[in-house]
Amino acid sequence: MFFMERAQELIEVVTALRNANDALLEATTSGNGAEATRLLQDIAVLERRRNRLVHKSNPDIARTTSSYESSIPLRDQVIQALRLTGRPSSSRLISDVTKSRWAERVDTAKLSSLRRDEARSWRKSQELPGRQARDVYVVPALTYDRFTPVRGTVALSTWPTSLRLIAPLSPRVDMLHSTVALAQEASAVAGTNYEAPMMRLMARLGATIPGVRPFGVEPQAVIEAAQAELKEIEETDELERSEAAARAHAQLDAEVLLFGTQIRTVTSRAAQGSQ
Amino acid sequence: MTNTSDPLENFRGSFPRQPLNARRVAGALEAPGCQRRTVLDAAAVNLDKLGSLISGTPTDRQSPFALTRGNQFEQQVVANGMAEIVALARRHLALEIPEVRQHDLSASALSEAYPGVAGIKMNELRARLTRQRASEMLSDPSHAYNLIRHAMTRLDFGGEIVYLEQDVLAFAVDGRIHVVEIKSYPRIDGRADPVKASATVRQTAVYALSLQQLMVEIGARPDVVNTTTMIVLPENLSFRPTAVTIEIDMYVRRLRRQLASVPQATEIIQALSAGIRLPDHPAKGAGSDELTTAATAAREALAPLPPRFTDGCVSCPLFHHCRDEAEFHRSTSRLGSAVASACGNVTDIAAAIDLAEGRRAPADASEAAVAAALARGAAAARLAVGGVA
Repeated sequence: MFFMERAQELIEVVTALRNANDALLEATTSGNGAEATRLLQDIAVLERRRNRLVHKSNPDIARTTSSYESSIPLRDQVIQALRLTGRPSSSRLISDVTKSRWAERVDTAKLSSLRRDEARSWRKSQELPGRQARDVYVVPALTYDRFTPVRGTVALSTWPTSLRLIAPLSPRVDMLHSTVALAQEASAVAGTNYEAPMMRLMARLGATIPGVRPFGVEPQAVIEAAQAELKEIEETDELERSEAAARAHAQLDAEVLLFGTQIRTVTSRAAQGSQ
Repeated sequence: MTNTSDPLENFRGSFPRQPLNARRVAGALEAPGCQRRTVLDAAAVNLDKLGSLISGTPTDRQSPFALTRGNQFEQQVVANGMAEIVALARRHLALEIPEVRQHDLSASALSEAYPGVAGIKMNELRARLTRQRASEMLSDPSHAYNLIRHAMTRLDFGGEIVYLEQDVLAFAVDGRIHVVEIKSYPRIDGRADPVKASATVRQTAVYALSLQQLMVEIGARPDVVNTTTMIVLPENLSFRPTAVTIEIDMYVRRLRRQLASVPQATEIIQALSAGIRLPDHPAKGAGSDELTTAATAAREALAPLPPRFTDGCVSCPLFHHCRDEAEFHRSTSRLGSAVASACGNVTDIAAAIDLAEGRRAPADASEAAVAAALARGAAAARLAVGGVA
C-alpha cells in the first residue's frame, strides 16, 4: 500500500519534470529569458524530489554526489565514517573519509554541536525510563589519564572503553589501524567511482609508514607495512589503554565514562602553582 | 634581572603594549646594537602601532591569505596523529619506531580539559605542563612523550617574561630534545627563500634558547637540547611537507649574549632625562590634528634614543622613520651597511664625498685611511665612467 503511494508520487514527479523540460526547451528557443530562469528553478526542485523518492524506494541505488543535494544527516555521516575507520578519528579524517568513500561533504564545524546534542540526548534517555536510548552515540575520545575529551576526536559509544581512551601511543596506533581499514575498503570498492579517491587517501596516510613507497602503492603493501609498525607499538598501547579503562570503570559513572570529565576545581590552584 | 623595569614602564606610558613573541625576540638579533629598538623591545611597546602612527600609514603586516595558508599547512602536517611529523622525525632526527608517544598542549586542546582558563593563566598552565613533561623526559625517558605539540616555554627578556609557543618538540629516548618548526614558505628545488630561511633560523634559536633555560631550571644540563633543529616546509609548489635540519648552535650562543645585554635598556633610559615618554595612542577615528600631534610627540620621544640603521632594519616597523632620519642627517648608513662600514668613522655623506675628492683634509689617522680608500674608489669610478664614454 505504502509502496503504491510512493510509486504514484514518483510517476507524478517524473511527469511534471518532463513537462517542465519541454516548456524550458520552448522558452529557450523563443528567447523568453525570465520564463526559462523560473523553469530552471522548478526543475531543480523537482529533480531533488525525484532523487529522494528513488532513494526511499530502494536505498541500494547509489546517491548522486552533489553536496547540496545531500540529505544524510551529519550524525549518520559521522557514524558511517567511524564504522569504517574503526578507531577514534579526528574531524579531519572523518571529512576526508566521507569525501573519498561516499563523495559527500561533512561540515566539521558542526561536529562540536553534534557532540553536545548527543550528550543531551543520552541524558534525556536516562531521565525518562520510557524513552528508548539510541543504539549508538557519537562520543568524544577521552584522555587516558584524566578522562577529559580530546579536542576534535570522536568515537562510538559502542566501542570498548579502552578503545575510546587515548594513551600516548594511541594517536599513532589508531592512525595505523584506520589506514589498514581504509586500504581494505579501497580494495573492496575496486572498479567503482570511489576506487581512485580511496586509493589517494590510503596512499596519503600510508606514505608516512616506514617501508611504503610514495607513489603507485598497492593496498596490500600498505596493510603489511602498517601491521609491521603496529607489531612494535601496539602491545604497549593496549596495555596502557586497558589499565586506564580499568581505572575509568572503577572511578567514573556512566555519563562521564561516555562523555568525559572536565577539570574545574583544580584550575585556579594549578594556575597559581606555577609561580 | 627579574625586577620590574619601572623606567621602561614610565617610558611606554599608556601606549599600547604588545607581549613579545619569538619573532620579535629574533628581531633583536637583526638589529644588533640598536639602542632605540632595545628600549622599545624591553618596554614591550607595540612596534607596529608606533610605526604606523609615525609614518601616518596604516600597516597590517601579514596578509590574511598568507596566514590562512600557513595554518592550513600546519594543520595538515600535524593531522592523523602527527603522521607527517612522525615520518620526517624518523628520517631526519633518527627517532625510533616506538618513539611516537605524543601529547598536545595547544590552548584549544587544553581548554577542553580546563574550561574557563584563558589568557595569561592559560600560558602559565601550559608552561607548567611543559615543565612537567620535560622533567618526565629526564626522569623516565621510556615513558615520556616523544612529540609534544605546542609546548610553551618562557624566556626572560630584560625582566619581561616572554611566552613562546613551540610548534613541536621531538624527544628521543636516548635523551636528545629537538626543536621542530613548521613554516609555510616553500622549498623549491632544495632551496628556500634565504631571507625567510634566516628569519626562521633566528626564530628557532629563540625557541632553543628558552628550552635550554627550562632545562637548567629543572636541574638538567642545557646541552640536553640538541641545537640541530628540524624545519618543516612545503616541498616545491605542492603542499607536501619536507624537512631540513639546521645546526643553530651559533645563533643560540649569539642570542644568549645579546639577551644578557638586554637589561642595559633600563640604563639607556635612565641616562636620558626622566621626562621622556611615548604619547598616548590616539583613539580610533581620531582627527588628523590629534594624529599629527601624537606622531610629533612620538618622534620627539624617540629622538634621544640613538638608532643604529643597518641592512637588517628593513623588517622593523620603524624602518621608514629611521631611514628618513638617516637621510635627513645625511648619514652614510642611509647608503647601506657596506658603504657605512667602508666609510668607517666618517658618518656624514658630504664629508665622505669631500674626502674622496680631496676637497677636505683628513682630521686624523683613521680619517686619512678612509680618505685613501675612498679616493681609490673615486678614481676607479671615474676611470670606469670615462672608459665607457
